[in-house]
Amino acid sequence: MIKKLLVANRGEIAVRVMRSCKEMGIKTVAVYSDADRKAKHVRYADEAYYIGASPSSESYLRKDKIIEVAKKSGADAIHPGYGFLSENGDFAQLCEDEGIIFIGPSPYAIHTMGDKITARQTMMEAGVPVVPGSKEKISSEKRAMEVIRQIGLPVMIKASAGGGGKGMRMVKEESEVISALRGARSEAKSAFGDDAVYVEKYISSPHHIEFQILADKFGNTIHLCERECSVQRRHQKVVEETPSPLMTAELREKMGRDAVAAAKAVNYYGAGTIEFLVDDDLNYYFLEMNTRLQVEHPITERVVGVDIVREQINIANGLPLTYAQDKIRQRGHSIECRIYAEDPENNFMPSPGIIKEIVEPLGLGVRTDGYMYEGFEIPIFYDPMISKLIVWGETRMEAIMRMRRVLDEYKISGVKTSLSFLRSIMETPDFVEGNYNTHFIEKNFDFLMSKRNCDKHCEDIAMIAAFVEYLSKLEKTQPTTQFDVYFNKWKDVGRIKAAMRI
Amino acid sequence: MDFEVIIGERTAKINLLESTGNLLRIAVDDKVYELDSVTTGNGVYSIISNGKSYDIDVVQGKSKKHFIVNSDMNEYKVEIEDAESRYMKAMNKAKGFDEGNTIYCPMPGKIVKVLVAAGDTVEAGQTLVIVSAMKMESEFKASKACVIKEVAVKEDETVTGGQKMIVIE
Repeated sequence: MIKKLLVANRGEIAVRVMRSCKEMGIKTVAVYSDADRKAKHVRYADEAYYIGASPSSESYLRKDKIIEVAKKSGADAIHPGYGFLSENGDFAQLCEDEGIIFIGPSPYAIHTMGDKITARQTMMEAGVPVVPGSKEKISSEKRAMEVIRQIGLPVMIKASAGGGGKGMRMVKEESEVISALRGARSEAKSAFGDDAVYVEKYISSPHHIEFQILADKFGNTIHLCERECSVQRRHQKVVEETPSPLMTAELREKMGRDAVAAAKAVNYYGAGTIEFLVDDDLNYYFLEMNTRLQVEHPITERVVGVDIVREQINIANGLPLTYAQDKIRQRGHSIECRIYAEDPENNFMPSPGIIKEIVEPLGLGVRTDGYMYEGFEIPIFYDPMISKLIVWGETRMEAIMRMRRVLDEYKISGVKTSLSFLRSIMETPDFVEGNYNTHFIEKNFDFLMSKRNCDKHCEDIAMIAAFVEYLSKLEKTQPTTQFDVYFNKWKDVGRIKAAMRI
Repeated sequence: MDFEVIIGERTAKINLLESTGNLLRIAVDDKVYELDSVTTGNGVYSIISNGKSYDIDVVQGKSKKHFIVNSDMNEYKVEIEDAESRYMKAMNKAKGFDEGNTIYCPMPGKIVKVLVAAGDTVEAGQTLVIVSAMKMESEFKASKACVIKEVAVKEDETVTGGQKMIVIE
C-alpha cells in the first residue's frame, strides 16, 4: 500500500492530488523549481525538494531528478498530475524499473494512445469510429503539403505527442500551412519535447464531448459519463459542463460503451478520458485518449460523487474498482470555469505577476481548485491557468445562476484574469440555451467582448477611488498626517517660520 | 492645485472639497459626491455613496499616476493628471516624442525572436518580435508601414512588463 506519494507537478493540480492523499493518510512530497519556491504546493506538502531551474525542461520535465527525489524521500509512488510527464510512457517505464509505483496506466497504454497515429489505428481495429486524416507523422514541410492536398482543406495540424490544445493549428488556406506547421512544431517542442505532428480532416461545427473512464487491473472498466467541453478558445477549453446539453440517454449509453471498448483495446487501467468529436447529427468520432487525470475532472466528481484521484490511488494499489457501472448515476448539473492569467481586452495576452489580493467565492455548491495566495508571484514559465471554479446545481439553470454569482464574488487583483470574459459567457444566450459547439466563442465574440453597462455615475466612482488612492500615496511620500495634501505646505512654512523666530 | 482624471475618452476635473475621517466630499466636474470611503490600505476600497455600496480595487498602473480600477467586473484605466504630468506632457510634445512610436512589452516574458534590425523598412502587419510567456508565444506586429529606428531587446533576453522593445520612425 502506498504510504508516501510524490507529486511530480505544480500549481492547482499538485495541491488537488495532495488533498486526496491527506484524506487517505498518505504522506505527500512536493518538487519545485527556482520560480516555485514560494508556491502553494510546496507549502502544502509534508516534504518538498528542489529539482532545478525555472524552465520546465530543467525541472518538472527532468525524469532523473524526480526519480532521485522519490528515492531520497522514500516515496513509494509518483503522481504526475496533468501536463509535464503525465503522458510520458518512458517516465512510467522508468518508475516501474526503479520500483516506484506510477499513478497512471501502463507504459504500453501511454505509448499507444500517446502516439496519436497508433491510437487511431488501434481504435479502428476496436471498431471505434475515428476522424479521417494522415496515417503517419509529417516529416517535412513538403510532405505536409502533399498530405493536406490529399485530405483537402480545412485541416488540423496536431502534435503527435500533444494534448491540452498545445501544438495545434487549424489551417484554412494553403498559404497558412508553413507558418502553422512551424508554430505547431515549436509549441510541441517546448511543451512535450517532441516536434512530430500529423494532419487530420477538420470536422466543421463539432461538439467536443469526452467520457471519463476508470479501470482496475482486473479488467473491470467503467465510465463516469460525459463532459461537454465545446466552449474553447484557440483549442483550449474554457468552460466545461456535465451532463452535456446535447446528450440523450441512448447516445450516452452508446458512446459510453465505445469509450469502454477504446480503453479495453489497450488493456487500460487507471483513470483516463476518451475524447470524441460529435456533429449536429450526433455522429461521433474518436479524437484521442488522455491517459491521465484531466483538468476538468472535478465536474464529474461532483455529479457522480466519486473522488477520481482516490480511485487512481486505489487502482495503483492493486485494489478492484469501488464502483460498478450500474451504481454510477449523474445527479444534478455541474459547470467548471477555467481562470487564466490573461488579458481578454488585450488579445488574451498572458499576464503573469504578483497577486495583490484574492477573495475566493464560497457557499453552497461551490468548489475552487487553485494555488494562489496574496503575495505569490505567478511565474512566466508555466501554464496561464491559475484557478478553476466548479459549481453544482440541481438543474442546469441553477448551476448557471450560481456560476454568475461566484464569478462576481471571485476577486483577484494584481494580474489580469479572464473572470469578466467567463462572466459574459454565462450571459450569452447560446450558452444559456445550451445551444453551442466549438465555434461558440468565435460566433459570440462581439457579445462576449461588449462591456457591461456602466453609466457616468459608476465611472465617477472609479475616478474617485483612483483619486483617493493617488492622494493617499502622495500623503505617504510626504511626512504629513493630514489627508488634504494641499494645505500642508503652508503649515510647513508656518512651522519653519516659527522655528526661525526662536 | 487642480487635478484632472482621464478615463477612456473622458477627462473630468476632480477636487477634494473636504475630508473628515472616512467622510469625503469630492467634486467630479460639477457634481459633488458625499462619500464614506474606507480602505484596507492595499488598494481595496469600500465606498458608500448615497446608500449604494461599492467594492473597488485600485492597482497602480505604469506610473504613480496611472491606475487600474476594478469595480463590479468592469475595469477602467484611470490617469490622474496633476501640474507635473501636464508639464511633462507639454515637454514631450515639444520634443516631438510620441508614445505611439514605441512598442512596449505588456507583460514579463522572454524574447524568442527578433525579426528586424534598426534601419529595416517594414510593412503593416509584419511581425517584428516574438515574446514567450506562460508557454504562449505572442507576436508583435507593425501597425503601419515604417522604418525601424531602434531595437532595444535581443533574443533569449528576459523582459519585464512595460519594457521598451522597438522604436519606429
